[in-house]
Amino acid sequence: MQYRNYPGFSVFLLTAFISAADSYRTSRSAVTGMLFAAVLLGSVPALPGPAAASDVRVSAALSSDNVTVGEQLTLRIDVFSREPRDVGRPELPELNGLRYVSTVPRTSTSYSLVNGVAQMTYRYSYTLAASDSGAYQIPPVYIDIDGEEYRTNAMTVVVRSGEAGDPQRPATSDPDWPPIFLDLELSEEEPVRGQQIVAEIVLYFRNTIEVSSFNITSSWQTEGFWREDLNESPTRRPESVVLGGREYRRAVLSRYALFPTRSGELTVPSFSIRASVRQSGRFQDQFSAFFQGFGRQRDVNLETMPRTLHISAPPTPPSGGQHISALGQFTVERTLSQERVKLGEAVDVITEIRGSGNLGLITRPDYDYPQSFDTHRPREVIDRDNSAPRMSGTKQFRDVLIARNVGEFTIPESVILVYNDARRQYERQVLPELTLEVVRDPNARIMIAQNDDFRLTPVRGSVSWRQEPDTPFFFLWWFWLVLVVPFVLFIWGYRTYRYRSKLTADHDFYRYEQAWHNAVALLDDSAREQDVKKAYSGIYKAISNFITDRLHLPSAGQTVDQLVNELYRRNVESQLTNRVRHQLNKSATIRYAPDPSAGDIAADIAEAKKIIAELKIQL
Amino acid sequence: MSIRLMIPFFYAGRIYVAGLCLLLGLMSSFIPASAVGEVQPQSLFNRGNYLMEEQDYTGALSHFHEIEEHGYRSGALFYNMGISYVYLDSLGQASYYFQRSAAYRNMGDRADAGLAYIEDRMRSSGTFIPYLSWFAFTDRLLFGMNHTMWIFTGIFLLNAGVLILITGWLFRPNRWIVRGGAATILTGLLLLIFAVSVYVWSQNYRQGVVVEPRVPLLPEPARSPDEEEESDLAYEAYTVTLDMKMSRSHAGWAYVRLRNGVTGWIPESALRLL
Repeated sequence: MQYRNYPGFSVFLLTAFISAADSYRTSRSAVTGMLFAAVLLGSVPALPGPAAASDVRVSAALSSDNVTVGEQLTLRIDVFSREPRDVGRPELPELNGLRYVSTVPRTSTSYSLVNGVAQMTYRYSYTLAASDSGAYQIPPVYIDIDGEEYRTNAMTVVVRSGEAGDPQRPATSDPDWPPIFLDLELSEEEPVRGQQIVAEIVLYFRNTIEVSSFNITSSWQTEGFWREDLNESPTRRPESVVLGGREYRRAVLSRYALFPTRSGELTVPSFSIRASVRQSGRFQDQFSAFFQGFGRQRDVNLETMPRTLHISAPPTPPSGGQHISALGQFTVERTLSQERVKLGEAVDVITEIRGSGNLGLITRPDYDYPQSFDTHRPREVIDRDNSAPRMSGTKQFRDVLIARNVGEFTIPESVILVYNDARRQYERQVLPELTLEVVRDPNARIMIAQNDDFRLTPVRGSVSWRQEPDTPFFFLWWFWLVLVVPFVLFIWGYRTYRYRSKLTADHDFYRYEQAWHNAVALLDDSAREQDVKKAYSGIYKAISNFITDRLHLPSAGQTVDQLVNELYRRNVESQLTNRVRHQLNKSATIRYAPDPSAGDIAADIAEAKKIIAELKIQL
Repeated sequence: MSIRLMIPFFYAGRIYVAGLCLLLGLMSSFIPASAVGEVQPQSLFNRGNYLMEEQDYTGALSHFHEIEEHGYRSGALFYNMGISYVYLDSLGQASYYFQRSAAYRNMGDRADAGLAYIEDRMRSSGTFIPYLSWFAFTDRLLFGMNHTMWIFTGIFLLNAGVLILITGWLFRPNRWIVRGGAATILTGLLLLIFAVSVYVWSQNYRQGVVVEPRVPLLPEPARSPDEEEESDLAYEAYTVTLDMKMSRSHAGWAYVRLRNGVTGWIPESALRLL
């Protein structure tokens, strides 16, 4: 017979213990309740067939491992179990350099039930005070659980000499707790990487103190942790607790879920607030010194101690399953959005991971889909349960599949591995195979109508056809023509423009260029002339003007000899020069000769034209 | 008429027939070989459309492909091929033919609607990637701009400018006409240089459509399973830009850039070049 077979008795036992612990906090006189619970718990081993204690874990932690002389620190011993246990009071070791402020511990018991898995935590807290400077070891603490002895690890504390100037820390001479302080309470002291740690920022203050307001003074940088803000604390309203034999008020200011992202030593930094407090009541006690010199109301800075956690790596996942980095208490399901789809229609394969843990760090599972499907990038949705005290909710992966062929297809069975942080072991979640039928759409004829706004209609009837290949433009002969023509035109136009400009601006050039036309015009006039002397005068003028214009000589006053000498000087052929001389002399002296015949005149005009033409080449 | 008189006519008739045969033979030698077994594209197109109505899209595509293989092209043909591939859920091929159809002026709107439909499908399947504005601009320059038209516009301005300039110099001397001609020439030259430069630049690149469902973009053309797992993916119907110069260095592989700027190597067989 197993202990768990008596749920009624378990609940009774648990209720008795919790009520005893609670009554102890509220009243010193409630020792009897505690004793009653202890008696009950002590009787547990006597019960037949207790469950195996393999799920029991014991841990010890210090609120700080580096303090100054006179400063106080908390030694916390936690016992974790999936079932109620008979937990004896820890056997306190002797300390060097430190002393117990009180050997009576603060005790608490918490119980959580997530996805049907229970987790019980027994907590014993002792307040220590540093008395001498130096490095001291706190030996292992032995604790008896269900008749078996468990021990914690040894810890080292460094005590520094110095003044305890912080008003919120108790002085060496004051063995009691400070009137108001801020504490960081973690749900897990030895987590594995990726495990959820619920961190509560808790404000403790004496009944004689009123906290009217507070504000967070700096952002909380939790390096090495992925952090999620949990819901507003349900216990923001203060509750009464007893610490060190005195009555305190306890208020949870903030709650966070921390997920270590790497293994090794990680430090949760201090969390600081600025609170506006005042002392109430007429009576003054030893804590009234806290307000001395500041009036009855003041603002105080409070901060938690930094906490160093040892993060261990989760064990290697076993073979035969798919690891998706799920760490917590999760259930995994896989469904289809529809089991019968039309060809080309999308269907979603929905993987739903529900529970508490590292929802945001879970990766998408991979499935072996049939080749006939196109798979598309999945959608990922996280739906958080904001009312839960831990990070919990549902994460959904939707793989979009589009079928290319009709038929019946099977998505094979798959096994997903989830690391259960309560059991500290991997659990296999088997996803059964899924069957999907793909059918042809009977209504899909000519139109595709995915929605009312969109339609594709084929083109029917006669259409125009092209067969010739596209010829690149540089293979077209007229491309080169229209490209070259403007350049040719430009060169011609420019040259003509320059020529005309020079004709206008340069008189000598004008005479040179016009010499031929003028000479020919004079000879033509001579040919039409009836008067022989005028005709020969024209021949003379045509030749002499041509020479003076071409040689840039003065157009008047040049004798035949001067003209001939110029021709010699310009190396004109001597035969031509002689012909020039002969023709000029003949034209100049013809007035003394008998009238020549018309044939002679025509011959002389022709000779003059030939001379001018030959001179044009040489001048 | 006696037989003796008919003999010359008989011989003359045979000569005419022989000449006619020779003429026909000569003419047939000049007829292109393809015209001998003439393909009737309209007839095949109609048969393909009929098969589309009968929902036999594979059969319809075989007719359409036959038209295409014989070198006939039409915006309507490519558009109907795109629709057939949509029915066969081959979005890559559908996108390819819609884009080819979009190049025809009379089919632009319909082809754009087809491409919008494919984009819609990609959005719903989560494979759509945005077009980064710089790459949209460069792709527009490389593939969307009608380079030939701009080059001829530049040449036209060049010719017009020269004529205006000559008029201002020689026929109607006027300083303002000369300046107008010079400005027109300058504009034409700049346009011509720009259009030719972009045209030459564009010859190093081509566009293609991914026709396989998921193609990993590899940093090197050598295939390795590890690299595939870590690489980006090009999904079916992605229009990618190929660097032809780099792609020629590795036979069977293409160096591509996606619309979001991601680059990598994919097998050439996974692409259809536009």
